[in-house]
Amino acid sequence: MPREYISLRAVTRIYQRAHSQLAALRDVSLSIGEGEFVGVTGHSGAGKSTLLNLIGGLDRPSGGSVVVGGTDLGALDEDALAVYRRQTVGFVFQNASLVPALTVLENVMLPLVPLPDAEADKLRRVEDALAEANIEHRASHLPGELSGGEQQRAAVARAMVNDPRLILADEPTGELDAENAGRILALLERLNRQGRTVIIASHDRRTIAGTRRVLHLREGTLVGDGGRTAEPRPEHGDTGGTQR
Amino acid sequence: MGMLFRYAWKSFWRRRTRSTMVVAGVTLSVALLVAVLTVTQSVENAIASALDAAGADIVVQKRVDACPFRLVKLPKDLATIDMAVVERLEQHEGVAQASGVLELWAFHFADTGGGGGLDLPFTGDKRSDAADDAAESGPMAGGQGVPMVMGEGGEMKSLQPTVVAGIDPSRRTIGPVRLARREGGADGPEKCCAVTEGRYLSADDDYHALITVQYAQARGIEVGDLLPLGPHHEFEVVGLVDISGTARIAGAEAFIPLASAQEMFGEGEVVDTIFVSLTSRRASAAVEQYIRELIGEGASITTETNVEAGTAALAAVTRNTLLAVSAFVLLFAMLALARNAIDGVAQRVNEVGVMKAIGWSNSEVGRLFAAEAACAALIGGLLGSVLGGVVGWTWGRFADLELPASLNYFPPCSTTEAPLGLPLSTTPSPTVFILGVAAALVIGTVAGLAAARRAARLAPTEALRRI
Ligand SMILES: Nc1ncnc2c1ncn2[C@@H]1O[C@H](COP(=O)(O)OP(=O)(O)O)[C@@H](O)[C@H]1O
Ligand SMILES: [Mg+2]
Repeated sequence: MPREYISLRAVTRIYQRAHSQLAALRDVSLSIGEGEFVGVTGHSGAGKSTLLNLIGGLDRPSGGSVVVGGTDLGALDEDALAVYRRQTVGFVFQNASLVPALTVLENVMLPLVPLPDAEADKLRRVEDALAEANIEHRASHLPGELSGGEQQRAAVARAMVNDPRLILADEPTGELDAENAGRILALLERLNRQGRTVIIASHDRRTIAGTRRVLHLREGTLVGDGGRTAEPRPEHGDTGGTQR
Repeated sequence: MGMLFRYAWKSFWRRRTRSTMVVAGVTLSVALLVAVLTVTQSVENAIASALDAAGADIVVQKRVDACPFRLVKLPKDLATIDMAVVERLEQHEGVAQASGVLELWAFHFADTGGGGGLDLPFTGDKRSDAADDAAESGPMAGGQGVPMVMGEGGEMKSLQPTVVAGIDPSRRTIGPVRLARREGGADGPEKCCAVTEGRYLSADDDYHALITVQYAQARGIEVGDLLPLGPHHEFEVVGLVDISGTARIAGAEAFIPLASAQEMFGEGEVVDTIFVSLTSRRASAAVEQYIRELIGEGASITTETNVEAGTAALAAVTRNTLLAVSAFVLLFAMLALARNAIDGVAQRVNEVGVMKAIGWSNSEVGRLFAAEAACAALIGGLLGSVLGGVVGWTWGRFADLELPASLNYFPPCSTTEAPLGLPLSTTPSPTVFILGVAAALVIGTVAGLAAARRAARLAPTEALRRI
């Protein structure tokens, strides 16, 4: 078992609605080791995005604690959270996550813009990321001129340009055809092989088929946590892959 | 930091449709402000130039109901002021100099056929009475050309007016044709009067005259000629002076020693216009107050401020109204810009979410939006300043601005025209330009801050949910 990297203790996230409360996550506790390749699945609304947002420091739990790399995110203020996201996390979202007015190169540069580093150094890192995502030939194009697959590869390049320890991909293949989805997943797998912890959330079991461990959420509760090699636990396990 | 601004610029530049609207709004409102400032400033400068030309801060006159016609009379509704007033004024605290001028309209007889003839015979009392009568129904009543009188032999003679100013030749830094630059004054020598031929008046001149180039040309007079002024006197022309180019207060066609003017007028030691220069502007109110006490009813005090109010072009719409209007437009532009910037955030909510997700802090996201607004403001400010400058300059080209005629009455049939035209120099002033850009930056910054605040407060998850 690798060293523990992410630890959630009794995490609850309750959304206040007009006349009711909604528990998007209920008493979720889990531990993810450094360098793990994890899938999160469950139906739409099960709480997958909420879980990723909490781990990524975009959101705060209503109860419980989230610790990443020894840092209790609850103890960080807004600015410190931004620094945490900048230094530790790379996000990949479902779609349209590129800034339309900026070229691919500028989009990939975005996470580095607030940094004080030398510009040449930043540019080199951007070029490396673009090459790794195999999108460097589109560097000077605006997102609108790219295909969906190319856009998403650019988004992955942006997620890795700051060399994060943790990659969070929320429905990264949502709008892609099988071929392009495969390329994105291969990219994410490669990032994992480089030693990064990668978590992919998707309602589509095929998307997380390549991960080594699957967390199954149902209405905000963690109902399954199975390694591909581990025995499916009967009380929580995914019962034959049938979708509700 | 520089990189952030470059990104803001790119983001601004590539959203051209939206940016164009914003820039147009800023441009128009700034243009209005700059145009108003340019125009009012040039009017102010022109007015100041009229007072500067006389080396004075205050001009004092006294007005009465128009006095009856005489061959040597005060202009229109001016009344006499005793010389003692000038002396007391000069003693007063805050006053640097006070110089009395006696401006007169002097009529002399001219042959109708003679084309301006200066060879006038002496005319008796009887005739001048007749002239009085003729004139009463002439220029004063109807303003119809030169009044005619019957000569001794039955030939027709015309009454030729000359505007005369009796000045103190020893006061060379103050008055309608001062020669020297005023102490500490900013005006260059070109604003003073250039003697183009002959010499200026000197202290021991008596029946000597300095006449304007324009008058000399119109009448065909040269230095050394004798100039009849009024029915009884002839003055030797000692010099020509050019007073064109600037409006004059109590400007005249012929300048003679004050003592001679007083003698010609025959009412003792009196003047009708006093030029006052101050030791400091702050003394202005107190000195004005003192002048009112000295002169009493009918006191007419001209300063930069009240000339302005009376100047034709600005009579209806005063400077303050114009400024209030442009301030209002600017405020409106600012609100529209803020509204637009906030809308922009709403439309770019997922962009905001993404930026925060990839590690931009709230303040960095805010700064980006503020910088984008600043780009719009800067461009709008520059364009608006240029446009406003061009509008103001164009106005200056075609506007005809004159001093109020009351400051320099010429008789209706005078030989030359009253020097009332104010030269408008609407060359764009850098101060106004900078002010326009600054105003744009202020409204842009306020709008940008509104957007930045909105963007900064947006919860990233909230923003990302809308993707
Ligand atoms: N900001 C929010 N305000 C209110 N309810 C929310 C908010 N975000 C998510 N939810 C609700 O929480 C539940 C879990 O959402 P989410 O984590 O996005 O699910 P998933 O990603 O698995 O589809 C859903 O019912 C969703 O409607
Ligand atoms: Mg989701």
